[in-house]
Amino acid sequence: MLNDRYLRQSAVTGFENLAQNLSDKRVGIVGLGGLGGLCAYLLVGAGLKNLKLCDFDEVSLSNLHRQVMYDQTSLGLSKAQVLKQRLLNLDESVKVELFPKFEEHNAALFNENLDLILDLTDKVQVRELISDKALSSKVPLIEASVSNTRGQIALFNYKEQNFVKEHGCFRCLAKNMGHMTSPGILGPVASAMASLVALYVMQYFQGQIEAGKIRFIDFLNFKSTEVVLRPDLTCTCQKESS
Amino acid sequence: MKVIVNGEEVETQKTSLKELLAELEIKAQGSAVACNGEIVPSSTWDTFKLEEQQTFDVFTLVAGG
Repeated sequence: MLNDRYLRQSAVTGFENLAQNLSDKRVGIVGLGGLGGLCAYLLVGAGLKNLKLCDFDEVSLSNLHRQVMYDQTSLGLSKAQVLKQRLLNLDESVKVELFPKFEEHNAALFNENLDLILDLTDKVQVRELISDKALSSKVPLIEASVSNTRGQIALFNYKEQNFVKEHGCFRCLAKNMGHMTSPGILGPVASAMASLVALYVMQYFQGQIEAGKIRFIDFLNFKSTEVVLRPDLTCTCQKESS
Repeated sequence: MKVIVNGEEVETQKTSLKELLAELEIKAQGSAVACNGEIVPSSTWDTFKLEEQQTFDVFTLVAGG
């Protein structure tokens, strides 16, 4: 019965041992909206057993068209609490630790013993803080975001010794992102991107993903382009890495 | 000189990437640019020299989650 859970997944070439591989990994997810909610569900479905989840927000009516882990019975409730219950319903053996907010004072505790951090938040300033803390903790970071009909995803492997020198950090990329907001978003685009993040995580743990690249996806035209990240030599990360 | 921007050939007299973007009315804010498959940090756009047949990809950055 237990083996049946991953039967169809383990029949995929390259992913035969995925569930076993994920079972001892610890993943932290910051941002439990359109990306983080579904991504967490897919990862637990695939065999992930240890998660730290972080989001201060409550479910609102305007979330429901794209944040598929929540429904009308969740309105006004903590996203983190609702998602934790959904994950336990999926797999009762999963261990989920909740953090209300990602801040200076609790970042080290959140990052502790993590194998990977997923930054799926919606504010550039928060993303910069998450990246800074991942870098100082030397924890690999996946940065993914979505807006309108577009998405982007990048793996910053801060665990690799020369990564920052060769590819920089999230701040290098975010210099001209300013105070970007995301006025529009289609539900299928958010869910497609959430699924892509989950697949990236699986491929990362299976050793199939190369760090230091960013992929831009235009879902409306099904166009996807990957380019190499390069450091901004004026960024603080370059002073710290030299 | 001729360069390629998002798959299309562009004839320009400009010499820097920053000038090229301005000529094409591409907003710096919220954009990322790659040259020959590698991101060009925005802090170097004004000193990044254009060369014949360079290939540029301009992307709209997104920040939502």
